[in-house]
Amino acid sequence: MFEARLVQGNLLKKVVDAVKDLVTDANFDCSSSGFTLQAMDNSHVSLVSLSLRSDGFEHFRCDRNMSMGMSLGNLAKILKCAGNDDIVTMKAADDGDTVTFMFESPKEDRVSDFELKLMDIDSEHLGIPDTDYAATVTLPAAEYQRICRDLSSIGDTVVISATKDGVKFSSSGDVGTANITVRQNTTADKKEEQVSIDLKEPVALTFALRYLNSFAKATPLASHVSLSMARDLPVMVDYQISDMGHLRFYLAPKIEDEDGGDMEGQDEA
Amino acid sequence: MQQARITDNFRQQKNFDSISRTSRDKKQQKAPELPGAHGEAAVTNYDISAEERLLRAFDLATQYGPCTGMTRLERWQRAEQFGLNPPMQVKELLTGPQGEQLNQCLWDGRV
Repeated sequence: MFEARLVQGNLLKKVVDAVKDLVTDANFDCSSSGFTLQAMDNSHVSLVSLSLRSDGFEHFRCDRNMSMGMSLGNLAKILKCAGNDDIVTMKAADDGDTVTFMFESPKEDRVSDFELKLMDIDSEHLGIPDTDYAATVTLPAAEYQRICRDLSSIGDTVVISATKDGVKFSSSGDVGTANITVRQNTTADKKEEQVSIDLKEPVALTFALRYLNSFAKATPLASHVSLSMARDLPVMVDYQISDMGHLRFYLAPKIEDEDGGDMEGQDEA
Repeated sequence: MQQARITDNFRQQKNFDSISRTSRDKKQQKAPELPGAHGEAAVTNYDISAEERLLRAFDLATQYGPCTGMTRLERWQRAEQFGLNPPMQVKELLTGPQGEQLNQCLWDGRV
């Protein structure tokens, strides 16, 4: 038996909306410690990792670890029927092949329930190693969204380079080139506008903008997003969901082709 | 520029979880349950440590032969003798400080 009641029901909506364009079907894993999801996109370039801790739910019960395979498109359709202030309850039997979503309006004058068919998804769980990131930049989520959007009108890829002066996002294409530099600013009047950079050593990585743009769909979930980078490793784009957990995206970098040319890219860093 | 894959850095753990899930599905959820396969002590436990996960994957790797009736270290040594190159990591765990506690296979006490 699995049962979870979430007062901020629209949080679930936002999570699914953030992920559904990247991943079509995914297994939601429930255990006594919480509700998690890990899935790769079709091309195996990026990875989504969602974790909602059980103590963030108003009520959480999971007698037995279970994995529920759902089509995220269908899940989004169902969650669209929930009002923004609705309380969402999820329920599933241990051996059932459906999960029930119940939406209660805060005024308690409307209750709806939807049953979603579960699917068998053969997914591979990836081990995410603990990484000592060379650079972590935390910036307002809206700012990150804007940078990705602005740069994608110029090119397909972005070079993110972190140095002691700041973090530079550069892109180039047929139109020309673009550089956006973000500098540390921990004294901004409003907490929402603060930018912090934690740099151990300079690092520069190249990524496909398409994915970074897709990650920006998680913007409504958090005020800030942090990007953590280490040489030759996937970037971690981390949205912290207050009091609940996190939604993290990992994106593999673009690497120089084997035949030389490697050093030039490194020097620029 | 080549696009790297996420799996280049993050290793697949297609071991215990997926194996137990598919076998459950194939048996239409009516499979006789293993003794002790309930609740917290269930065989399918997502909360097990990375070490135990690795060792269980080793238990279930059929190329090294049956895993019951002997300790994990004995099984590892047998595989080594047959030139099957069992993972060094497993031996390191089993001969390490926690080796004693980790030496029994997944089915120990259940079958």
